[in-house]
Amino acid sequence: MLDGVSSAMTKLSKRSRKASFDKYVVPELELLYRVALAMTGKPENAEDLVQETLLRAFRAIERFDGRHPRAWLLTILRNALANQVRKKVPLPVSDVDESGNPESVSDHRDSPEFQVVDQAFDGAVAAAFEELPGKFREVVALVDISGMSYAEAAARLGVPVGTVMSRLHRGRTRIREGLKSEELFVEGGQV
Amino acid sequence: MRFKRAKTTSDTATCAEVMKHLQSYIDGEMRDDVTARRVAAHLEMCRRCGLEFETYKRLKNSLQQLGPLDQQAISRLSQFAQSLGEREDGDEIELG
Ligand SMILES: [Zn+2]
Repeated sequence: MLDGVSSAMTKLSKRSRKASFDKYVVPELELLYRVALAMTGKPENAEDLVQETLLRAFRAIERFDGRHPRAWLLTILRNALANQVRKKVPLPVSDVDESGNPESVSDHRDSPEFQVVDQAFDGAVAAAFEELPGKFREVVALVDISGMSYAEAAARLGVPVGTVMSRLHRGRTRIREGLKSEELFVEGGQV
Repeated sequence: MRFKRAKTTSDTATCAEVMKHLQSYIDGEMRDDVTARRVAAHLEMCRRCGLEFETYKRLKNSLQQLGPLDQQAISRLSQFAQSLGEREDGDEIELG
């Protein structure tokens, strides 16, 4: 009988847990993948990192108060990555990924410290990019990500070149402002 | 104001001019080579504008690395998220 009660409670908690997870976490998948990709620089590592983040979020969802899910998830992601970096940097060859290949430390752009700063910066930029209102984001995407000229972007969007320039400038400025408020980027100081 | 720059050397832009052209300069979109050279000359000697330039260049560099999202990866992650919700033992799941 006690077993029956506890199993009913488990089912209930399982259902509310899943409901919260679907409500707060699932809509942020693209953001998480985008940030993970920017921070790890490699699609397969990004996918692992997001999985780890999802798992941690799932375990912690009952303690989450429902406020600022993005910030909460990005904190989890950052911690998960920091944990991986701590594990990987001192013992590069001891860590073997699922395909059986040792994770190579030679991918790291510079010293670990530099890499952490770069990762944090790239991740914060990715998050701030995702936060941009659509009309700024589309111009930034065309010019910076797709590499279009102002004239090409203007033709694509059917707006004057001056509009492309002003949206691009405002979009970038917003990203920069986003970095300032984003604790992801603390080192470096010049932003 | 832009036209009253008799006191500044004509081969160096003012801070205000640099701020006006900085984004186009970073994007290699300046139509006017003379102005582009004057901006470059100013960035060499003005620390404040130089930092501004470095910041936006770094930002652009970082943005350039964001490609289109791999929708297959997104759908795999979405399946993974679904599978978490369906486990009885959420606390026991371990990643490989
Ligand atoms: Zn200046």
